[in-house]
Amino acid sequence: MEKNDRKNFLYFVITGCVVRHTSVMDLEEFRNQVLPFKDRLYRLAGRMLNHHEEAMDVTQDVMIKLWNLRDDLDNYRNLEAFAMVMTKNMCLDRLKSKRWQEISLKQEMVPGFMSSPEAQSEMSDTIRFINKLVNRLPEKQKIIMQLRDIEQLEYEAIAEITGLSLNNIRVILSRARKKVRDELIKVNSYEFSKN
Amino acid sequence: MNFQRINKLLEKYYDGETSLAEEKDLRSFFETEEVPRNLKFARDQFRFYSRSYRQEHTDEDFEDKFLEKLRHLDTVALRSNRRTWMFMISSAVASIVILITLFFHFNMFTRNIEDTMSNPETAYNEAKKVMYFVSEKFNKGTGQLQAVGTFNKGLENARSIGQFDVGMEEASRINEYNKMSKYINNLAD
Repeated sequence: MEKNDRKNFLYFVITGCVVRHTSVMDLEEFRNQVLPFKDRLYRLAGRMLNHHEEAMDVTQDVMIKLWNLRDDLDNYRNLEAFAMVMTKNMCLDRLKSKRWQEISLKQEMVPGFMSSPEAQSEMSDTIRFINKLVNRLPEKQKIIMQLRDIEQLEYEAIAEITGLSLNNIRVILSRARKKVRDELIKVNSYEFSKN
Repeated sequence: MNFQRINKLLEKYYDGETSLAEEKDLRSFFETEEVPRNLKFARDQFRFYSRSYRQEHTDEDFEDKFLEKLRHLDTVALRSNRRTWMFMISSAVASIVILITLFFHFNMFTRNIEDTMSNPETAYNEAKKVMYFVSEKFNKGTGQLQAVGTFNKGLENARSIGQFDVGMEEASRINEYNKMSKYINNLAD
C-alpha cells in the first residue's frame, strides 16, 4: 500500500514536470518558430515608420512581447499574423506619439528613407524612386501593398492583420497599384519625350 | 510567355483580381525577360517588389541583441526571485527559532510540576496542606467582601434626600415638583 502511494507520487511528479516542459516554449523552439518572422515584421514596421532604427526597435519589442507570451502562443492559430498585428499596432502607437512628432520635425524625414544604408546602396535609382512612391501612399494602401505585393500573403491573412474585408482589401490594393503605375508612366513618358 | 497573356494578367493585377500564383508568374516574367518599352513601368514595379523582399532585412546582429536583452530581462527576474527566496528562508528560520524557544519554555514548565513525592501518604498530606492554605486565603478574601454591607448603610443615609423634597414643595411649581420627585424616586429605586 505504502509502496503504491510512493509510486503514484513519483508518477505525478514526473508527469507534472513533463507536461510543464511541453507546454512552455523554450528558447530553441522560439528561435525556430517565432524569430524567423523578424524580417517580415521589420519590413512592415519599416514601411510604416519609414525609419530603419525605429523599425529595428519595434521588431525587437514585438519579439520580446512574444517571448513573454510564449506560454500562451499555442492558442494562436496563425502566429505570424498575430505578430504582424502586434507590429502594426505598435507602429501606429509610435506614429501617434509626441516623441514621434519631435523626431519627424527634427530629422525632416525624407519619404523613402527606410532601408538600412547597406540595402540602400544596392538599390538602383528607379527602385529607390518607387520606394518613395510607395511610402507616400496613404497608410492603408501602403500596408496592404506591403503585405500582398512584397510579402505575398494570401488575402485571408491580410484580412486577419488589417481587420478589413476581402473586398475592401482588393479595392484598396487596386488603388495603390494603379497609383504607383500611373506615377511610373508619367516619369517614363517624361524621360521618353526628353530623349 | 506571350505578351498577350502578360497584358491580360497585368490588367487583372491592377484591378486587384490576380491570385498569388498569377502574381508569381508576372514576377518571374519581369525578372528574366526583356520587355518592350511600353511595359517598362510594370517591370520596374515588379522588380521593386522582389528587391525589397530580398534586400530589406533586420541587421545581422538582431538575434544576438535580442538574446542579450532576454538574458538581461532574465537576470532581473532572477534577482527578484532570489530576493523572495531569501525572504522565505529567513521567515522559515525565524519560525523554527520561535518553535524551539516555545518547546524549551514549556519543557521547563512541565519539569516544575513534576511529581517529587515518593510516598502517596505524604503526597496526600501535602495536597491537603495546600487545600487548607487555599481555603484559608479564600475565607480571608470573603471576610473582606463583607465591607460591601456598609454600602447598604450608606444608601439608607441617602434616603434623607427625601427631606429635600419638602423644601422644594414650597419653592417650586407643582409639575416641577412632580418631575423632581419622579426623578428622585428613580434615583431611590
